[in-house]
Amino acid sequence: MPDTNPPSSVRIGIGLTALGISGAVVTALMGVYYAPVVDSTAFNAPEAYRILYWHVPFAWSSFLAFCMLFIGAVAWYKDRSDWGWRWFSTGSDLGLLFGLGVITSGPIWGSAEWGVPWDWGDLRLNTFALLTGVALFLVLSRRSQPDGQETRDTLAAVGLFGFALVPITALATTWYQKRHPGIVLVSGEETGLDPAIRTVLMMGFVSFLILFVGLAILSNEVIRMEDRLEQSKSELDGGP
Amino acid sequence: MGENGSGKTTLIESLVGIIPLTKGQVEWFSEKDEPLIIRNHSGTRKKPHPFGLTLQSDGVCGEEKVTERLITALNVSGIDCSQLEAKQILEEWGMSHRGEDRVSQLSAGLRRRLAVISGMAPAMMCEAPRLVFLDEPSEGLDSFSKGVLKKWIGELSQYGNAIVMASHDEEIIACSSRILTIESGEISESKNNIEEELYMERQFLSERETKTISSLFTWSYSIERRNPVDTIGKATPAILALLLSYSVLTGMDTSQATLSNTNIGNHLTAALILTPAFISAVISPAMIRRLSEEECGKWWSAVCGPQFRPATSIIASSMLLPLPLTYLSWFVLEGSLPVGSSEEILRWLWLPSLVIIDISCAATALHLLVSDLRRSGAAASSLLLIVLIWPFMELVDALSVIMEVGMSSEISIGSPLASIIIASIISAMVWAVAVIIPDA
Amino acid sequence: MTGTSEMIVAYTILSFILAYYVNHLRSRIVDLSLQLEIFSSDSEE
Repeated sequence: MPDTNPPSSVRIGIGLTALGISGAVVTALMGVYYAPVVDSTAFNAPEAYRILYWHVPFAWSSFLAFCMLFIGAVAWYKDRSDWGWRWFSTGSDLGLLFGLGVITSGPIWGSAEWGVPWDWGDLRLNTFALLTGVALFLVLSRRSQPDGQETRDTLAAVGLFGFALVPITALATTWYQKRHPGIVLVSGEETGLDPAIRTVLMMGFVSFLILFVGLAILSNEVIRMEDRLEQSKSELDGGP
Repeated sequence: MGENGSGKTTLIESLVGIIPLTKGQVEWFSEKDEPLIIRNHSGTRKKPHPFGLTLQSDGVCGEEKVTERLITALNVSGIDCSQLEAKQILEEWGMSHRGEDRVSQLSAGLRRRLAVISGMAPAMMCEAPRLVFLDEPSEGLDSFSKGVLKKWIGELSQYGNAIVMASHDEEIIACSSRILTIESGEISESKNNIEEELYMERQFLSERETKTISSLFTWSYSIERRNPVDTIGKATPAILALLLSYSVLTGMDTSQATLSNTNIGNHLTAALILTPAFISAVISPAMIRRLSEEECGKWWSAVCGPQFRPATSIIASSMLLPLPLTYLSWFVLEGSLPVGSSEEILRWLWLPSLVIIDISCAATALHLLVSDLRRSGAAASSLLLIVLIWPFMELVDALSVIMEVGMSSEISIGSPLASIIIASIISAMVWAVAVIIPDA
Repeated sequence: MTGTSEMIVAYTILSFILAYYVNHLRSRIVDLSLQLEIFSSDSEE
């Protein structure tokens, strides 16, 4: 870190990130050692279920990130506001981060539990994969393309396209699922959860929410710093 | 006029509707003084009246021939022009000897000359007054061409046409009656007295209704005929995939005992048959690369208006390949796979391959969306194509059911017709979203 | 098959993804802060 004190937003971001990571680590440890063993007759791979304690919070965080991406894209398209672009950029970065986590841990769990890593008839899995693909496209494009209004307009359009894909994917998987019944990713997630499992899951939710906010603040700050740097360089472009 | 980076090109491109607006609107007025909003900040975009346009980057594709380029520019603005008439126009600019040459063979100066002629001719050859937009018209022109340019500017002005020019060139600026100077984002105006000269009467060409989309189709078809890069680029990987499937299958035990009468067997067969056509459908079309040359796509976008994107996504898609590729796959692979009644399959194989054309339109719309990026070659457009796997799998399901139990006309869950309709709907939805959002 | 190895692999991958991104943010902030210091002192001169 540089000699000068970092701005308060960076300090808050670092604090929240550290807190979130600590909570996530505790959640993982609790998930492995404290959370109950599930009925081995009901589960093919009873230990693999423990992936749940990070998989579900990752999914929730990626959902928040994609919402941020969408809101940012709409704000940019509507008013070309700087905060809209920052939300869009942060949303795509975090959407990629957490989305990758979902689509890697999900198939690993699926392979262990059901012997099938992927299910084209499952809405959630495929929606996350599509949105992660769009997020990857946006992250790569933001790095490779010259920044400017036209580039931002096109990328915001791609971001909105990604969201229009959600209902299309919903229809597509529903139609496909009629003949290929989907694999339920988490059976009994909504009802009848063991209190210990619920506790660890809630711990995971809270930790990842804090982590998400911390990372969002830091990512936002990076974008602000990049803008300030670009402004400083532009001022020097005019010559001495 | 203005310094580099002052916004002259941005102004011209905004006036012709290429660039979306953040504030205000661009209104054109017909000779009857009727206003037409070309573009506004809330996303409205209308097709402009016929006009002439010369972009800073020429706006021409290297595959076009010189005469063809001029005739296209005139046709697009509703003027019929024969080869002979085009040659006469080129003669005035000292370019008639280059009429049958491709643009890629021309020097930069000649290319610039052609771009200027194509931008001014739609007004020059038309009796009714028109708008002409010229971005740095004298850039790269020699003294002879500049002389013709100044003469044409004077003539156009005499016949009541309005010319909007962006220029650094003092000689060209001196031809203007109104000079707008852009400095630090502010526009100031000054008047200029021009000596009126008398010009010879000109023979105008006959006018008709503008045919922008059919001109775009004709243009793309003639370029593809001249250099079938698109067809080869799509057919080659498709055929390679087919040959690969064939060589893998001939080494496998695909007997009745292992694959027949199972869902997997029919699914595998259907997937292998449809894959080559699917590959040809999702590959980026050559037309998109052609439109990227020298901002050729921007020129077409300006003259076609809001119809440009939907029309291009259909014109550039793989219309001719899916059907023959699907039947070719069937004939090549038929011997290696255990399948049901081949008569029934042959009778209905055209149906899923027709829907692959829909998939192709959707894929082209996505490639077009990505091509808006300045460095589109650096963008991973394939990531956006993943969604097209669903319609493909619906088609695979449909074909596998046809193989197993034959075709039926009922539309119910699981029936081939329903799967085909669903595949078509999904592709249409993706196409619609990719076409509507960027211009919204 | 209990799925223990899959669980370990999943947690390892997820941890790696998180650690990679946090480190990326950290190094970007450090690098940008340094550059901003350099450019702001250049413009003062």
